Amino acid sequence: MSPTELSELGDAPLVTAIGRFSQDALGEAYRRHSGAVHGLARRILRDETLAEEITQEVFLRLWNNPEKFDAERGSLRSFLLAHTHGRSIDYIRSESARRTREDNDARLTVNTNQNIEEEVWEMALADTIKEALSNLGEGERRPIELAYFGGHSYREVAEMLGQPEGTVKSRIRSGLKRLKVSLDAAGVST
Amino acid sequence: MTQIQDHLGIQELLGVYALDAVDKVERALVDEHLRGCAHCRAEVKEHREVAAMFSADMEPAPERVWDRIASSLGTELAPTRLADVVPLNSESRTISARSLTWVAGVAASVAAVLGAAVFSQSSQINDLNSQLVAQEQEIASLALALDADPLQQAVTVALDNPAAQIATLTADGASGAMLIVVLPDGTGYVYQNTLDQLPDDLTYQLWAVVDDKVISAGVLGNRPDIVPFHIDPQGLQGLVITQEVSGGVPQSESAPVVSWFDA
Repeated sequence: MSPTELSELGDAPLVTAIGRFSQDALGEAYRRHSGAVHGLARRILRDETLAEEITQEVFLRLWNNPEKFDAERGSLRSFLLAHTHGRSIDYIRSESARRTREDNDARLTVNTNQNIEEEVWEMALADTIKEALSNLGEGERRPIELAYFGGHSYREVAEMLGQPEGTVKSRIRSGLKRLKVSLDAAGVST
Repeated sequence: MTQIQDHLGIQELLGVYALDAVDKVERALVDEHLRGCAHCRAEVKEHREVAAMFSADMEPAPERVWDRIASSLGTELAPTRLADVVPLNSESRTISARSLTWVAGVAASVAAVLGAAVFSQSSQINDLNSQLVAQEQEIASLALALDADPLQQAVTVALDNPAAQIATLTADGASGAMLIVVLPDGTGYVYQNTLDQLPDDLTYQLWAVVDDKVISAGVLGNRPDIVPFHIDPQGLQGLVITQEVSGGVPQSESAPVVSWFDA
């Protein structure tokens, strides 16, 4: 299959080609999604070396276990990013990282809202995504930012924001639903 | 905790689960629930697609990462930009981690149809493999359904329909609740219920609110388990359960025991 043909493949046939031992197909998946995967890992881990290791792991997992991807359950992009996010979170919650994290607790507690918010806006987000986020109330936007980009559990987020855990759970869920409505209305495919 | 409480509790966790903001125990609980609930799977899928949008338009990963991936595969891969097709090197591949069904599907389709000319007819292989995977999934679903009773089978199929609407009927300030699934053709099932058992001379009765009219959708008995019913899905605004005399009534003057209204 030529590079042009590969570049035009949808998610499912591309992963099927990876399942056929096509290294070119893996390269095409890397070309499409490695930037987002690496960027997300770096944003969460704040460490370039670790981010590269996670990126490598994510694409090797796709190579070794292509059957894990199910197009019925979402796009290849969201599949890879979900794994990236999960592995990054696993790392920062591990015992070895906990000590470092605890050292930063004071800084996080003091500057949590401002830091995370600024970092999110520093990201090269599409204008439509920025607009959708800005349309959320702070009560929904901050828990999402702290959980997704800060890598905090909802219990940690509740403690940071001084809110009940149930409130944080509900606001993250309703915020994600509201974002989807916003993005759909803006014609952005999710 | 009852099944209905499980379902409601899990639903509350779906947003934080999609963002990996749950602990290991909660993650395992949701994972288990998602295996049997197409409705919740669809919600998690939506949340993750939204989260994926947060990572748009970032700079490509450093080229050295691709180089390390290439070396991990035990061969020199093509450049990232994919100028040329690289011959297969299946011996360098880690295949032990793959499922046997996947490998078997690949092997069968390749052997039967294409022989050694894999790349020359790759699109045909892709189609065949997709069919095989779909058939395997269908067979697995059927095998599960065969073990269940007919009504349970019907509910399983209904819950697996992404177009199905799941209504959670609750009472304000009370713990009583009931789950109902309604298919696009109006076929519905009461399939989970935590309401108290009634005396023999009383029954629960289901009412559909359609175009501002309240229509009886069926008498459920004094201890509903799985109960099928049929309603007009067009204009459905809500579902209400009341407590009536045995046999049901044409029009109810009773207060709702539990209810659901489309937001």
